[in-house]
Amino acid sequence: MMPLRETLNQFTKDSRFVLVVLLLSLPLGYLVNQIGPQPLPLRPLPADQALVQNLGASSLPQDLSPTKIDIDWAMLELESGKALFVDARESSFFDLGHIPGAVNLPRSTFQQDYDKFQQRVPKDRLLIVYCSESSCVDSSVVAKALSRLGYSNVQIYQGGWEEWEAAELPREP
Amino acid sequence: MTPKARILFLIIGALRLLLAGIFGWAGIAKLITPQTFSEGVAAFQIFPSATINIIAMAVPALEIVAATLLLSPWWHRQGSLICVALSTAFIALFVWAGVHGISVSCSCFGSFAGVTSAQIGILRGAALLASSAFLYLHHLRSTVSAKG
Repeated sequence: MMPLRETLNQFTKDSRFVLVVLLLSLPLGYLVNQIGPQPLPLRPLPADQALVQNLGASSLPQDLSPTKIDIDWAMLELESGKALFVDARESSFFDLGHIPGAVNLPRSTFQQDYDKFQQRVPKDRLLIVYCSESSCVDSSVVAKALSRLGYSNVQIYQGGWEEWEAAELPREP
Repeated sequence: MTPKARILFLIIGALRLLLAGIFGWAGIAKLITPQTFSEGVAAFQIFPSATINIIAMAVPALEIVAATLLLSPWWHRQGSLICVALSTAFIALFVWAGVHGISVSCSCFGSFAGVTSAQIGILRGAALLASSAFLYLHHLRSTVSAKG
């Protein structure tokens, strides 16, 4: 058995040491971060701005509130064939079913996938971005990121895949 | 040294190396991809947004310091106590995520880890906590015995 008093004394001393290390780790972490390969700003960037980091978004558009459209409008755009639907869900969900002709551009792999996307899709193409359901935020983040990268005609289909599927509208596969 | 003491000595040495390796690797991986870790911290939806990047900077530094202390001949006891504190915090975060049904990509090893379920996160944290607590109690007992 350890003597209780000495043990508690030692534990208190160790805890003080840990507290000092904890406090020192803040400036140390900041310094190391600043000399690291991808330094973080002290305040986090908005999600869409973080997505376009290192992707050459040089002239940022002022208005970053893409138009939101409902299911009827989305269906009309699908029928007209002018719009390209962009599915911001993870690829595993995209593979299970998506709006016909949609391309998959998940938020999580945006930085890797964007290069291929921009080679295929002209900047003036009408893009309609959606994600899983009305409360998901990935469609908004991806739509704003695309606007920042120069896509001039980006809309958000707010109801998302859940609403589309429930309405039994065309799907792939 | 008795055979039992020798086995304990080897176990303690192996645990120190293992924990130093895990925490050191986790810290370095997070330093390499700080944005990924910052998003991982934000995914828990518990911290105010103004503090997320500060946490994302401090935690890797703390993990690397803990790993270094664990390997040092003088401060390994304190190093193991830092590991106890970190593991406890990780478990608490994953319990929070599990209770609130949040699916998290903890980015515990920077970009080298995928999405982690709350259960796996808790189990991993519990294994780290058990190991570091065992190590700390062993070193604490040795120190108190030597003094007294």
